[in-house]
Amino acid sequence: MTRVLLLLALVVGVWAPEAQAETDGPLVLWHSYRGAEEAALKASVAAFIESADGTPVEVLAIPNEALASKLQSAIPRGNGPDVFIFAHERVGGWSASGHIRALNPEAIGGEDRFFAETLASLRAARPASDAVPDPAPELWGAPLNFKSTALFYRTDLIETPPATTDELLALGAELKARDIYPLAYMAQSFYFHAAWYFGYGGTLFEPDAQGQQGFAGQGAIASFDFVAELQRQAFVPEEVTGALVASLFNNKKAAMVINGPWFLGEIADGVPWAIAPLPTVSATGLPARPFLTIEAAFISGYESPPERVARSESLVRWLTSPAEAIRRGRDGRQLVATQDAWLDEGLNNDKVLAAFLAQRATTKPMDSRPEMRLVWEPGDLALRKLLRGDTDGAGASVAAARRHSAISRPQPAESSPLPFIILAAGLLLGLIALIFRGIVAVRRRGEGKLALMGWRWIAPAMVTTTILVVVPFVVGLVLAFFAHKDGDWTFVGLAHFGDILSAGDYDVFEPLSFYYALLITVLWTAVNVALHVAIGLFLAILLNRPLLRLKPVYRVLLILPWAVPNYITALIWKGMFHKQYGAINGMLEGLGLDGISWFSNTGTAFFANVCTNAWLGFPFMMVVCLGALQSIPKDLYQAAAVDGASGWQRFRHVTLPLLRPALVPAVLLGIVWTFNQFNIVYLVSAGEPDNSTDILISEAYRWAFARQDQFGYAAAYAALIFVLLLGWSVISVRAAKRAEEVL
Amino acid sequence: MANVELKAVHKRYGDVHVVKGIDLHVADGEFLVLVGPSGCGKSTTLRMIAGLESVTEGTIHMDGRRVDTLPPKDRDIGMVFQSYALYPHMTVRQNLAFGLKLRKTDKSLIADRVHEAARMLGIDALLDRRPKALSGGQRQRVAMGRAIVRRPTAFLFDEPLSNLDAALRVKMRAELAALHRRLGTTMVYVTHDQVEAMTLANRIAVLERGVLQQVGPALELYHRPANRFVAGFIGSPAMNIVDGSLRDGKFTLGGVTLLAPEAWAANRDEGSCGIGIRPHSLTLAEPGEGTVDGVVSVVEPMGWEAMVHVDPPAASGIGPLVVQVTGATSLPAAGETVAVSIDLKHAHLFAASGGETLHSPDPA
Ligand SMILES: Nc1ncnc2c1ncn2[C@@H]1O[C@H](COP(=O)(O)OP(=O)(O)O)[C@@H](O)[C@H]1O
Ligand SMILES: [Mg+2]
Repeated sequence: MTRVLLLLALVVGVWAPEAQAETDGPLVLWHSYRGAEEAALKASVAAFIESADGTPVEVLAIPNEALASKLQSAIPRGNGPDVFIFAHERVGGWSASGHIRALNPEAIGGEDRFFAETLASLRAARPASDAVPDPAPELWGAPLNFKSTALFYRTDLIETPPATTDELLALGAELKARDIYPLAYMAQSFYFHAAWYFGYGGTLFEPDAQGQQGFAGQGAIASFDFVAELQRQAFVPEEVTGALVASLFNNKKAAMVINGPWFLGEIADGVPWAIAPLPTVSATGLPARPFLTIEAAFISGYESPPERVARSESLVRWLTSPAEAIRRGRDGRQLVATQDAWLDEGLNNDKVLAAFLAQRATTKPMDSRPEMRLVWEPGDLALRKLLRGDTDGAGASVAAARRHSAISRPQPAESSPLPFIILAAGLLLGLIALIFRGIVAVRRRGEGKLALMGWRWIAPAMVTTTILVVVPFVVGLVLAFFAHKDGDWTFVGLAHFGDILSAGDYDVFEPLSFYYALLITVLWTAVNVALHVAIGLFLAILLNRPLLRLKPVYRVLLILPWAVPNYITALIWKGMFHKQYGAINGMLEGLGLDGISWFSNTGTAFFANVCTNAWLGFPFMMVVCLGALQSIPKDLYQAAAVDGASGWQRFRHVTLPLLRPALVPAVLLGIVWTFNQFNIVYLVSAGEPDNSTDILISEAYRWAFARQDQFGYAAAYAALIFVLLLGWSVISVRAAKRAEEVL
Repeated sequence: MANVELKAVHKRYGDVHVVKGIDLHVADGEFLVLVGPSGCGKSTTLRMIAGLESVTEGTIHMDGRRVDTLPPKDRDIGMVFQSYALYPHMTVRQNLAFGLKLRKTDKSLIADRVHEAARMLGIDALLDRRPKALSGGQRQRVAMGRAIVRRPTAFLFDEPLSNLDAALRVKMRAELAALHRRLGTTMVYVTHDQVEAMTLANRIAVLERGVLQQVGPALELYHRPANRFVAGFIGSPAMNIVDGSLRDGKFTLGGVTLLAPEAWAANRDEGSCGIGIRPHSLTLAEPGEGTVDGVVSVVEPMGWEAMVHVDPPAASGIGPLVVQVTGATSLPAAGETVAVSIDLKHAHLFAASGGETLHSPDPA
């Protein structure tokens, strides 16, 4: 009994809100730095502790991917760090939701301490209220470091870097003649494209010179046309990845690279290189303006005693002080936002740091409002369309604007949860009544004690399943009835389901429509499972031949695809389907055929996905078939041979029917797995082109994580997938039973 | 209907020589039983006839047509397996019809044949069941039915009765014999059970370690076994075989010397040799009054007759003896000491090396 109580305490403990932070106790600082940057931060904090007030500080490193969600769940419960270091991108949402505290500039050393550009993204207005209709923007974080892209170039190929885009194109023609890519960068990514976009006068949230806004503006179109021109002249390689950029640059196959400070670590020893600011756009006379991103120190927004807040502020002031900024710049090689730090010789003489400092002057501070997170997908979509040659700048602009409007769904109207609560309560009551009836029935039969004993046996499994499966499932289901925005949840009833099933703004047979994704998913599942069974069965029959030599070796080799983690396999296959450097096009070209741009076309991209998944999935079917084949008594074949059956007839009349009982459940299971095979679709085709190869689950993922956290909408997708699979499993359990009955 | 002829047939699995040159002629319509201890190569031989195993050396002819190079389906044989090998996913009807269906036989003809076979075997009520819903005996009949419907020129049986219980086995044995009389088809039947062999066979072929020992009618094998192996194998209870030596017309076994009968004159100085006496030719006597004394280890009363197992003392060099006592009213008890009387007039005489029979007594 005590153990049960303990377990209960544990379960409750998981949900129980934690106590408010006390006045004393060490300050807590969360960050996600590693390596030299982490060491520099730790040294800074140690120095802070030693300095005058000697306040203890606990420093906790949290993996980058987990930091945002940890902060989002801890801070509202009055838990989590006093101070944390994070990118500026969430300032808009978190300032509105109260996750972070507005800073008094004086308490952190005054605004003049920082480069003006680095403050821009950290400002946001408090939400307007009736009393203060249009409040002035406040400062929500103290900038520590900044980052942007700049132009890396090989000094053995280029003497002076191009100052304008015209110079760039002229230089390009020259280099191209020597079979060298003038410029390598991830042209299909809007983050990298932004430099051209703003250089051509494009805007995102403000109206441009013509009063246009966002992707529809003339500047946006011109920047798209510029990239199309780069691509048309083959000045940039195709289907670029980060690894490809580094390899081309290191191997003297690319003369210039647009990349950020993280590229430093990828340049090979012995490569002669330098950094320069990006060129000016000749057409507009404006500099190319890459995004400027900021890492800042934030103070958590929960209630905290004033002395404690004061101590947090003094820690932030300490960290942004010139002396500590110099330490971060020298030891961590970070681009610090504190102006006076750059008076330091060490920082000033560092050519790399100095070059990024110079680029800073022409950057575009990345907006921190939540809507920024709806920019990436349309931007990338437009660029990919363009680079595939599907459209021109104007068409790309239209596509981006259209996608932007589709994914920035207006929030559905709030609806009353009452009918749903009544319904849920009714269901719950019904469930309780059912359980009660069951108990009464059992007792009437005098099996009460026996049943109790049974329940005790399954209790551990039930408790674990409840915690690990039932609770998340119910939570997920409930989420589908809410709309999420910046940590706030609004009850919207069945609105999400309505939107999904009515296919929104899109045609029914266009990507992004639920029905299109369903069609692709069904096709995907059918083709894959058919291939799995066919290949698996074929190989199993080969392996099952009694006289085969080296059988164990083949068996191990053939199970290998299964043993390798599937995302690794997926990435390998993605590489093999690369248009310029992939093994598959290499083979085609070796045969005198043209290489195929696999991910430019729905059919070929789907084919690439299918190849990968067929490779991953056949071993399972092979093992199942091999097991089933080996359990077929040999004398059945002999009886059939005597009865006059040929080899094929024996397969047809003995092997196949006797495989059925093992194969049917395997196929049914395979269907469920393939239906939700997220990894392959996400990693191989990534939905390309234009999300036309996305399946339901990858579409749901995008709604949740790539389109401004529309968790509720994604949960509704997940619920629909669940309903589909539930229906399927009802059918399949029956089919499996029927198949087993044969033997 | 066909005769089957094996000429110098060998079978090797790699280095293992399993069948070592079999010459065997099965006459048209004959019921030939291939018998021998487990592992002697009976199934291998049968399967070579069926075409399920290749022949390493030698030839097989059926009705003068060479068949050992043909696949099973072109040999026109029917086979019944020890495990029955019924197709589990087919009904009895489908099992029976399978062979005809493969031969694209006319549907109504198939139905007729299936019904005929089912009636003959008494399984007409089972036609729509699957094998798993049948008892062992019923499955056995279906397996036979499957061979019958095709009307092959020869039937091959591989220990078809050994998975049945004793009572059913006796019954099925009789039905098999009846079936053979009725169909008159050539049958080659493999068993390790010599009782089955004796009751069913027109002729028996005894196989040991891949070598044919003797082929002949049951009684010939019983009364005139070609060698010590056949003598020990055929007949139930098995013959008592004792080693001794024959010198100067006197046979010595375990310290006892007996005068050899007149009929052994040709072998009066044979030296080491063996004798074989069937249990019913031995008699019990009071201790000291028989040929050799021994302790009764087991008594198996069977009503009209009884088997008494006697262990002579180890020093005598004589192994355990089985004495068949008929009609006796009082049997010795286990542990009692008795004497066993041996009368060499009823004994078979075997050569020491090779074990071939030197003399067999006249059946009296
Ligand atoms: N495929 C095989 N490979 C090697 N040895 C085999 C094979 N099949 C049978 N044997 C051997 O051949 C001998 C005869 O087997 P079999 O004909 O089945 O004996 P039985 O007389 O009991 O039917 C046995 O010793 C068996 O181990
Ligand atoms: Mg056998």
